[in-house]
Amino acid sequence: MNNESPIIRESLAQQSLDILRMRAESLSLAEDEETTAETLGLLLFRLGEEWYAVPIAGVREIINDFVLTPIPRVPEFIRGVMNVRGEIVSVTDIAVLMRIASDGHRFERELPAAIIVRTELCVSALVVDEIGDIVEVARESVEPPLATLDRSQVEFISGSVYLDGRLIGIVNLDRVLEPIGENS
Amino acid sequence: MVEFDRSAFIKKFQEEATEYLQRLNEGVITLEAEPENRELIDQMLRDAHTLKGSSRMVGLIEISDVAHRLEDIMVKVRDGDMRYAPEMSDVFFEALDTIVFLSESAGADVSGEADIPALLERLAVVAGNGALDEAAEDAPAGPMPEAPPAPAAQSPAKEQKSASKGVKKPSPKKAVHDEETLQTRVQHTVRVRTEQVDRLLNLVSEVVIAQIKDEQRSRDLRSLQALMNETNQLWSRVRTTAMNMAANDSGGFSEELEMLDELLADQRKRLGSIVKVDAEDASRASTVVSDLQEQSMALRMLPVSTVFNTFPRSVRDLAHQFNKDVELEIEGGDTELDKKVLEEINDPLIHIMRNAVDHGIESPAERVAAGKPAKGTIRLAAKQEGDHIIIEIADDGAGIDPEKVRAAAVRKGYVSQTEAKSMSDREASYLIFEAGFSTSAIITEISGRGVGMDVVREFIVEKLKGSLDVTSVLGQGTTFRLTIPLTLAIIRALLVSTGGRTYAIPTASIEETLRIDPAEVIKVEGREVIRRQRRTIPIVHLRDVLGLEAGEVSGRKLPVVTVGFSGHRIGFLVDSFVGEQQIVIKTLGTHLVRVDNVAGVTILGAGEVVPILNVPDLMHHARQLAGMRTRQAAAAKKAESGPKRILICEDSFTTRELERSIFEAAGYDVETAIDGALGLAKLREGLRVHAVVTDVQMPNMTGFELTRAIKSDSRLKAIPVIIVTSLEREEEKAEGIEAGADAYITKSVFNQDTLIDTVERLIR
Repeated sequence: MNNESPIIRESLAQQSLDILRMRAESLSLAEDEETTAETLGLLLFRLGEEWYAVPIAGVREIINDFVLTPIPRVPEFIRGVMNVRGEIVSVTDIAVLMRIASDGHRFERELPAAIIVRTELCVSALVVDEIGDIVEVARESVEPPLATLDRSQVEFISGSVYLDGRLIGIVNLDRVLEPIGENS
Repeated sequence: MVEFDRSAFIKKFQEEATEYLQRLNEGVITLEAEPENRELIDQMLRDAHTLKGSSRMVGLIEISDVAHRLEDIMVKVRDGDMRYAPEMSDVFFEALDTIVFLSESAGADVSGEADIPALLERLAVVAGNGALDEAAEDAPAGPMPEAPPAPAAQSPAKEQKSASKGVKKPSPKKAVHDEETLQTRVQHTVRVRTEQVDRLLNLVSEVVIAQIKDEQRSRDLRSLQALMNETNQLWSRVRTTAMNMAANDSGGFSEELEMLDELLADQRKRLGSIVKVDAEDASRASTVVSDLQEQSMALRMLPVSTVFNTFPRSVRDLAHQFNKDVELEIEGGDTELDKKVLEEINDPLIHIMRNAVDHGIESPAERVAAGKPAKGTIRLAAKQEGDHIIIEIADDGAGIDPEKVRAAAVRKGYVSQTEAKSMSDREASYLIFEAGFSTSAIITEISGRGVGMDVVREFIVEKLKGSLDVTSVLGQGTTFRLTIPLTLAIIRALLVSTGGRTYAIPTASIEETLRIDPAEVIKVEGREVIRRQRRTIPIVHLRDVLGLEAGEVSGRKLPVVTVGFSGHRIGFLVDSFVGEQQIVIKTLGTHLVRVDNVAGVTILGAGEVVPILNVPDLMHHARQLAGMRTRQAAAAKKAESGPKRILICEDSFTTRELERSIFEAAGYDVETAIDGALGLAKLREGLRVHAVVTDVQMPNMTGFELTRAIKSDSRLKAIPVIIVTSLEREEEKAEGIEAGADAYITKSVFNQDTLIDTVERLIR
């Protein structure tokens, strides 16, 4: 039925048009930033025995002390939500998501550190075993992800870089932070 | 000459055009009924004219062309050169739809999708003047025909007249000027972006949270005061003795005791005044905060007519499409509702409306045959009741046939045969809201209701936390009643604790809270149920639904929250009730878009985050859980011994069928006999049953005689006999027992549980 409510269709179309345009604008801006910068800022963090990094552009803040509220029946890698100054932020256990052995977070006794990261679509706090330094690496030193990574892991890693003899995987935030439950 | 970027104004135009198009759409409908409505004609002419001008201003020439033709027609109608005829409506609507489409495309090339020249041609034919074609053809390339009217003018109608005579002035400057006049028009109102209002509301809810925290602190302060008073009382009791002791003692503390006494008195006084001032401040602040909340909520309130007004048009189109004759009556269009809520109710209303036209209202011929007026009526009404808005959509069509719904639901496997039987007609009607129910082919048999009805449920109940009710009288019509909270931001909720965590349940969904004795929990069909006001309510542990570990349960009585949703009731066992309060609803953040069972969260006074439970999800999962257990229990039972069989001897048809349904619902096979003699005959012929349930007063052979016969037959005497009777004098009871009956139930205390319980006790 094409003509049941032209006005509503129009306003909806208009709204989605707005959203798309806004996204397009911010995407094109982000593109500009990245291509002009020759270095890439990375925040390092440890999971178990390995070191990983998130692009600093995607980091909003670091939280050292938070109260976790578990949410029932969510995917295993979602630990729950926390209250960041009145804003509700999901808590993602990135080690579980990427199937990496970590120290195992003892949420009851000890609060782990969390990095609040954001993408175009969403914000989440990644719990990690230890937060490391912020480093600047040359963009051209970033290599594709290790071929030995298995498929399920490789989608979460956008590239890797050698730092002090350690191979550091750069987390692909767009993949890690996909909105959950959108289609269900 | 001032250069300006036209594209920057397209959005503004789209916004503005929506209003004009809306009004024009409404106008066409009204004009059909009142072709002489002068005021309306002028209004429509102005709107078409404005559309023409402003679309041209932003460079949307095709819109301008279409609007120009509409204007031509309206001018003729106004000047009496032609009369508005209902046949013109279709091409008018086509034109308006095309403008909507063009406006959406915002200047993109749409020549492949819309045949503008053909439309212009048709409009020209309506205008009765093919010659105008020429003027329109050179319009895109040519100069601007005329400027949009100056709506700020005190008498726009007059302005209009001169403008529509076609003052052609090629001047972009004029356009800029009009941009200015557009702005001066806005004097008493300020156009604010919705996001800005939303941000404001977010801040207000933060204030509300702070206020709730403050109230908590005031309470803390008062309990501190109470503690202080207790200390003082204790002190005053020991003071004299202590003083005396200190005075007698040489190295005494009499001075210190004196000081302590003074300090305590001083503390008490100060605390008293702080508590007093705090209480005053708190009550003042709470008034201001609730006003602030109310006022800021009002910012987003819009009349429901903004949504309702699109319906005359869509109902007209729908009626056309389904060859129905339908009239839409609208009431209470000025009722105000939160903008966000309004946006959400549009879709469910469209679904209900479409169903009403498609399946509710019968064809004119059928209606006449049924003795109804050929034209069906749909009534769309809104009204406010407390902090809720009630929207009713009532049609005078065929109604929902509960029998057909039951049959379809059983065939589709939504409910079992016995479940369907035990449902009231009302409960059966609710089955149409089951997800997926709609897509089934069977639905056409149940008059199609249910197409998209699960969508309605999703919107109203899950998104808006409202409730949904349907009543239907076969042959007379169906009424949908939507109850929707005025605002989405703040609700009342019951806080409960389960599995060691706190959760909030919206009070609107709660029917009652109870503390039940564990003994009140009865097992039926492997389900745990309780009896409440002659209804059986299944109960489940909330923690099982949420997949949580068992928590601390204090006290012997079990706290139960019963919730009702679309005719079903379920009791949720929790560990404890925490309290009821207003809560501010927050989403789960941008990452968790949709989570099972959880509708959002709220932040309590202490900063604690509490998930708000989603009642429809809970009910759904609870029923799944119960269903699983039933199947397991049924399977276990079957593996054990197969279903138990009962013989019912009863001459009253009603009682017989009632008892039959009770036993069938509990999983028994049922045989019946209409008197004792026939029952005995069945048993003697070798019918094997696990128990006999018999009435007393029956023709041919009474229940007592039957009992004696059974109990004196060596092959039958092991069968338990339960006498169900209205006789309740002691002598009769004695006679029954003397006859050898195993149980005697009087009909006055008769209910399904005692009957099932008794039988189960006897056959185990």
